[in-house]
Amino acid sequence: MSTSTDLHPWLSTLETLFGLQHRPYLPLRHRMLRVFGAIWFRPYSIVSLEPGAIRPKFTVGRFLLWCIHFGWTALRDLISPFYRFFIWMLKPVGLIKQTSAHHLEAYIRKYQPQRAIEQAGVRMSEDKRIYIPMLIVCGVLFFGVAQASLSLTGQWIFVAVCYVVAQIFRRMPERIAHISLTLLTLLILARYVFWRFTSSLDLAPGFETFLGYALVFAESYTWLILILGFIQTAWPLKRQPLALDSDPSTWPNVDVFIPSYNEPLSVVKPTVYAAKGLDWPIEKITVYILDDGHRPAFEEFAKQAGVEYISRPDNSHAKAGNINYALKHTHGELIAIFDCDHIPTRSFLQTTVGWLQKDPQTALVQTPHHFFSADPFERNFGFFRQMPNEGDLFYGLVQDGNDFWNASFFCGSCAVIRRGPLEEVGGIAVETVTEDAHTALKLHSLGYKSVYLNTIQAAGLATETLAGHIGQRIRWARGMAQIFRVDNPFLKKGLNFFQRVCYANAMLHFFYGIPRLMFLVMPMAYLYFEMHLLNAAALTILSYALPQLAFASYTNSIIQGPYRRSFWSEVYETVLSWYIVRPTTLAFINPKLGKFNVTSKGGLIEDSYFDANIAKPYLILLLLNLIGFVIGIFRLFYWNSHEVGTVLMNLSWCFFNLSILGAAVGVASEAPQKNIYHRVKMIIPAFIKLPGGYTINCHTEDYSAAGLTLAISDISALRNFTQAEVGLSRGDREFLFPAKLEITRDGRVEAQFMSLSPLQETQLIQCTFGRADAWLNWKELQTQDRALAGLMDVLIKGWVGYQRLFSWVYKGIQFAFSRALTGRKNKRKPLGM
Amino acid sequence: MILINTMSASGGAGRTSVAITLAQTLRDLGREVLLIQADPINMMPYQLGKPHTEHIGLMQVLSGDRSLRNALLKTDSDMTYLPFGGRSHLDMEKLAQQCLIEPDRILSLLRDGSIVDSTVVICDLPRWPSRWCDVFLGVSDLNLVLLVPDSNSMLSIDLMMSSLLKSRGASYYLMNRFDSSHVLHLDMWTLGKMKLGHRLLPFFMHEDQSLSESFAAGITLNQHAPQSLLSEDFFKLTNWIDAELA
Repeated sequence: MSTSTDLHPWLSTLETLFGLQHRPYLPLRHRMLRVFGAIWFRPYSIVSLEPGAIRPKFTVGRFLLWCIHFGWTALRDLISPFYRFFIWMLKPVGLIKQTSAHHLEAYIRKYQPQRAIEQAGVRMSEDKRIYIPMLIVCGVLFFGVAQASLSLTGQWIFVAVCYVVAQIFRRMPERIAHISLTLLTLLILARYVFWRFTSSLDLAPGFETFLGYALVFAESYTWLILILGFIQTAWPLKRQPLALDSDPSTWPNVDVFIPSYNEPLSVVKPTVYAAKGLDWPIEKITVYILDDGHRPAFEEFAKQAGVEYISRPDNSHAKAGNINYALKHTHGELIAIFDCDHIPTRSFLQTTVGWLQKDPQTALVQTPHHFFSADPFERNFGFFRQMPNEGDLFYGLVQDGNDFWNASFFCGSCAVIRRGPLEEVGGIAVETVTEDAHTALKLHSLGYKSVYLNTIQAAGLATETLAGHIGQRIRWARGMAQIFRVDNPFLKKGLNFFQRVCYANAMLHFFYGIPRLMFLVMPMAYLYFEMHLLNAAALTILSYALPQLAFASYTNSIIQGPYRRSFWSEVYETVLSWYIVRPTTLAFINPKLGKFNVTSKGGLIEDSYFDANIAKPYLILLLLNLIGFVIGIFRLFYWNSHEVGTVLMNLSWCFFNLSILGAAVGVASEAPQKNIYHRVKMIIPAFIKLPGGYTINCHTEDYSAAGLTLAISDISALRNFTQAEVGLSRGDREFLFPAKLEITRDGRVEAQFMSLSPLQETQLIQCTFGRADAWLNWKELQTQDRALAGLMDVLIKGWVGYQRLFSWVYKGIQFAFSRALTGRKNKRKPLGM
Repeated sequence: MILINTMSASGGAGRTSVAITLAQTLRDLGREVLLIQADPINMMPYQLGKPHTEHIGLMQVLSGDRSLRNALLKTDSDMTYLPFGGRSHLDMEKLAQQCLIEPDRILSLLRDGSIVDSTVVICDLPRWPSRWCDVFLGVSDLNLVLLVPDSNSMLSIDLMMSSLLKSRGASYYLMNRFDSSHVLHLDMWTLGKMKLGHRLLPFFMHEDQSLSESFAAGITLNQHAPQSLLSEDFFKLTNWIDAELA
């Protein structure tokens, strides 16, 4: 009757760990067997190997896939117990972290240390007599700490102290947290740099020294960019829109420029319609289509839409020349510029002009470029709207940071410029291919101010393919390198120090090509040829390099978290690195080298395909790293077992390279893009007006220029109708659009618009894309960034990349085989026959 | 007790329909509601599904022949209402004159204890101008002036103004029977906004067949066509009134 006390508590712990029921009454041997069985013979692996009800036809390919699957399952079963054990071991660590964090937060809530910091700061800034000596003392202390030589234990204790301090600072208000974490990171970086230059460069003469210094050069570049970036984003201004004068008669005249070159009319139309709907006194706004394609259809459209059309005799200097020509033929005091695929919301001018009206020295107001379609990264990895995209870092943080230093620059679209200053600098700059940033640089050097407003006031299409995306970035990189040569921000007159820093970072940022490629091949030096590029024990390298990398990632994750996932920069840079090396280097040598290329938009990808042409450089790098990794394994166990640490370090470096290269290859696997009209998820109220005078109240699920998806609670009322009018509202006005209705299987209603008149098309764009609140909730689906989770995510994406690569290679081999067997030469052989 | 008038200067603006539907929607929100027909053309019982003329009603209560408690009627859906009641024309005029002289008389008669103190009383007034309009304007808390998007209705705004200014309660205009597919309606809406500013409620009641159908079927609009835009409009109106009362 008495419940038997458990004689082997560790055994029951194991049982809990593997999800077994407690059976303390069983004999010990029996229980051990059960646990053993649970560890190695997992039921789910057997289940997953079941071929299923329908037995597929046997092919070699299927058999191979099954073998891979079998092997993988076995491997997973082998590893997962250790993984589980590891997680279980980590539990107390998590507990300690949690409790200490709790106490820390309670302490900060109670004593408010940030107040003391703020007060000290205020007192210091008020009194120059304390301020200067304090700065000197801090500087001396900083360099003292940076150069202090410590034992390895000492270094680790220092890192631990920094970690605790960082944990305290992180919980303070945002600005204090960011700045103090930045300083802490710089301190650790300084220690690393000092150590790197003094104790790691004692290399064997010859090629090893050359490579060693090349690595230092590449690292120095990243340090420089890190420091410049910290300065640039030290204090994001987060400026708010300013209200306009209450009397509209004092508002300035505005010319809206929509430059176009070869884009189809269907892309330009919505932009023109939305521009016509901008909230501004009708007699004070003129919309111009600047057509460099000299197309009669555009002229016809302009006439019919009631906007002006300007086409110039030649096409010199591309977009910049186009705008400059229009400048001469127009008169508005302000110029709003939209790329022909950026659809403005009606509130654009109301939001932006306030700052221009308040301060006559303000020459430029820029708003973010927002994309309602997925860019190649988002589409090919399927994280559209769940994670910040590549542009978010720039438009969310960098421009806001620039704004504090009065250095936010023009981005070519979605901006308002004052005509006077623009004419003073000779119009849009034509010397470089990034005319926008160059123009802003010139404006700043004349003492004009710029404003950045981080509220989305226009939206457009992202580049469709990876090739297009890369093409666009090549242009940016080339242009920035050109500006660096032609109008170097460090030499240009009229800029203050911080403006120089911001511009320099914007330009130098695009020189990451060479350093990035170096990082991707450097571990090969050891793995292939056994060359030591750092002369130090592996443990020492680890003790200095790892904390520096970890702190930089941690701080960046906290500062940039909402705008860029940790470690994603590595992926973005890796994808582009090979392609921007040549243009940046060439432009750096001679700014004249290089041609303007236009990114094509509004295209379709019918079938998924692997862009092997674009991926070629990564495939080569990948192969290099893969071979290096295999050699490394041999080094680890046979050839170099006397320096396990060094091999392991190079192996993990190689592994990281392999992961980001995998991700880069994964992006080159293009997912299909089926809809010609991009559907944007958005919930706005709508209604259906049925023939016979009935109305149905509903809301949209998503919309595009072609149709809407409507959600209706009860579709029974619709059964008899295939046509109706769909109503949308703009402000308190309603507009009706004739549409065909179709009920989808999931109970939604698809409304396809039928033959809309130009007026109705205008109204439709103004009711949807042109709404002031159109992009307000864009980021609501995004989650919080965590540094380690970001790393994990990148590793997983790398793995996905490999899976895709293998499946494409497999398809390719199969295709080649079948062609060889049948002897047929036709290219379109259906796969899998 | 809160007294709301629905009134208009043009016929067919939907005074009775709005009054009834508003009462139903307010009741759905949990308010106590009493509907009063103050229009001698006694339409309300028909729309409420009681197609026979009531001889006992508001007139009898005001002249003191009946107490309010005995005059109140209920519809099938348990809505309390008070019809106009039968009287000769001369008597009505006399009664109206008396009520104009002593406005408290109406209030004290309504507050005789047969209805809860928090009740919302919705009065369906006759077409303005009328003596009964003046009587109820003098004691109301809120006047809902219905407009339809046509020129007559717009012209009447200025005419009515002086009489609305004399009212005890606040007056707001509501655009009724609106159809956005008519350009004229949109223009009238803009005109109305320019003329009335914030006095014109920022939403409008859409024209919808379901309303008359629901009366014919003898059920509320919300039961008959819960998905209709008009039903949504009534929720907006009711929410606005509810917020205004609070």
